[in-house]
Amino acid sequence: MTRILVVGLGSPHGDDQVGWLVADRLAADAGPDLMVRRAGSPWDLAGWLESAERLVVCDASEPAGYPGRIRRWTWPIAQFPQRKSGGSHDFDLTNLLQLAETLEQLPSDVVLFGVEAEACQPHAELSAPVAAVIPQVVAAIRKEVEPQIPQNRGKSPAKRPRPHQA
Amino acid sequence: MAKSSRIIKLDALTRVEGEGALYVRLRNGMVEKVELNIYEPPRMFEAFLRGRPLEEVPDVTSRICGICPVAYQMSSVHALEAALGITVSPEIRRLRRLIYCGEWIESHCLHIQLLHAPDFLGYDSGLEMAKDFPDEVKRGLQLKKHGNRLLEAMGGRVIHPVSVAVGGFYRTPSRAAVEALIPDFEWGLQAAAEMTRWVAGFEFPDFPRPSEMIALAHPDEYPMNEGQIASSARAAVPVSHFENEFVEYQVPHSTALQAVRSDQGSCYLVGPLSRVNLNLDRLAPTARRVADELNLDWPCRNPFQAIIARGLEVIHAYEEALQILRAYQPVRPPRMEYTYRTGEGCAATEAPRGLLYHRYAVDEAGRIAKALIVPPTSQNQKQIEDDLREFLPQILGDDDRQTALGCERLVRSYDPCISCSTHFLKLQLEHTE
Repeated sequence: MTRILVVGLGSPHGDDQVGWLVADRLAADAGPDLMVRRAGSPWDLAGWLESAERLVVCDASEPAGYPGRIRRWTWPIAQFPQRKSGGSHDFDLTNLLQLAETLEQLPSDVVLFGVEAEACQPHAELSAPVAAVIPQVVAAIRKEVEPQIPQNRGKSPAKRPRPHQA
Repeated sequence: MAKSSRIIKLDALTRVEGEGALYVRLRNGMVEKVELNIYEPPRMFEAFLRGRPLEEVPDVTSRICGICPVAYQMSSVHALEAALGITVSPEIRRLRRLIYCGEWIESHCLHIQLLHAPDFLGYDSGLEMAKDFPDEVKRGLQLKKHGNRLLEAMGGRVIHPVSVAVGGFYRTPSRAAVEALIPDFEWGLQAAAEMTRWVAGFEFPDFPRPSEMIALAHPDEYPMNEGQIASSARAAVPVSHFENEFVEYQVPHSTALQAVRSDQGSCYLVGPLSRVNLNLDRLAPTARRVADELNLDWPCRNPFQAIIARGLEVIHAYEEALQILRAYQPVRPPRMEYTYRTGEGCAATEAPRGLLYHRYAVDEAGRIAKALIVPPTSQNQKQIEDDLREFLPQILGDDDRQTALGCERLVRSYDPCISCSTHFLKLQLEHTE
């Protein structure tokens, strides 16, 4: 059975909470083959990847005028620019996944869900557009990991969503 | 002969914590001016702490930096306890050293592995280096991970730990939680020694500096939270003399204050190289053994070799942490009681990057009346500029980009935390005629 790691990456600041809130809703699905974790920094993932064969990450994406827009990518992601990191403050998810891949620690199947933020002000509440799509994101990730959800074992998996759209 | 000038600029320093720029002006091929430009916005922590309850200070100041939050917590609680007349129990004292071990490990390993080692092996980044040195990078990341786990166990979480309090800790972990760390730390002690031997084998530019080295020194232990302010050039002084000995001042080209000796206006160096040089005989046995086997001449005065000092401190931190973990018993109560009183207190502790000084005045209601925070990177800025000025003739060539890279490599040796110093290096080289 494939071991899947689902990570909600976020912080307590505005729409950057979305990854955490999605992970919290999925936590009840966790089982022997499905790990669900919250991460405050990409570095957190470094310690979890070796035991996983598939990785699903949910994170807020930068505001671009469409708050609440959900996008799905599979790794490697050509649209994500190769960026030299500054210090560890600048070490982002892309850098972490690149490093893990170089070290042959990255699961062979990596899916990223991005939920476009409206704003990520320090300790602000989640915006309405982002809050409204959380059930949709949760449902999309559930479809990704359906066979690994204990109560769904033995059922056929649903069709995977089309790339770049959830 | 016509006079010629040249400007070399680095727009953003890479592989340093925070954002900074470097400006160098050359006249007729001679270095005329070197400025380390810190342009991160000032944080104003000292101002907005005023009026806040003193219990908030550790959590607020820890936000100055995500890499060394424990250092800010430690300096703040010790300064506030001095103001209130609190003496913590030996058990609390020991646990504070334990959490500091966690921070030294994760900060130093990150810098060694991903920020600094690439310079000596000819790579642009830790990512590039990982392709050819996967085992070394994996080892370094594993070592860092253990530091993070220790921070999480002792502090409640890795980034901005929440358990450090005035008087002790809000909570301390169970014995089982602590014992679970021991196998990793036993592995880590040997791995840290291997890592240090590896970095000690790098080829280092020949660049010894006559810097005055400053660090805490303690008669019984390798310094973390307590001690006198020791110097390679003068007699040690109590921490309470810090503001007599050193002065901060504003420079036009930096949003971070700089610091020099009050009497002579001379710069000085804080950080792991200074600590190891001034406290070599107080390193834990394994760290001392590795230091001896490396066949270095101590005191070591080459800033590039600070990577070795960081390695030795990682060994020390693993060894001391193991000792504390093995003997650990939950501390009850985890926090000393205290009553508010009007008072003033100061403290210096050893952040991964060097001596970090705090002073607070508190009122009878337990609120902050005044605050002063002097980070290590602020104190090192002038030394970095002076060292760059001396180093530039060695690396000046026709290619400004190569010169800029050489400057960056020297700056990285100090592991500057620019985010801290503002309570990536842009180099501007100006050639003038």
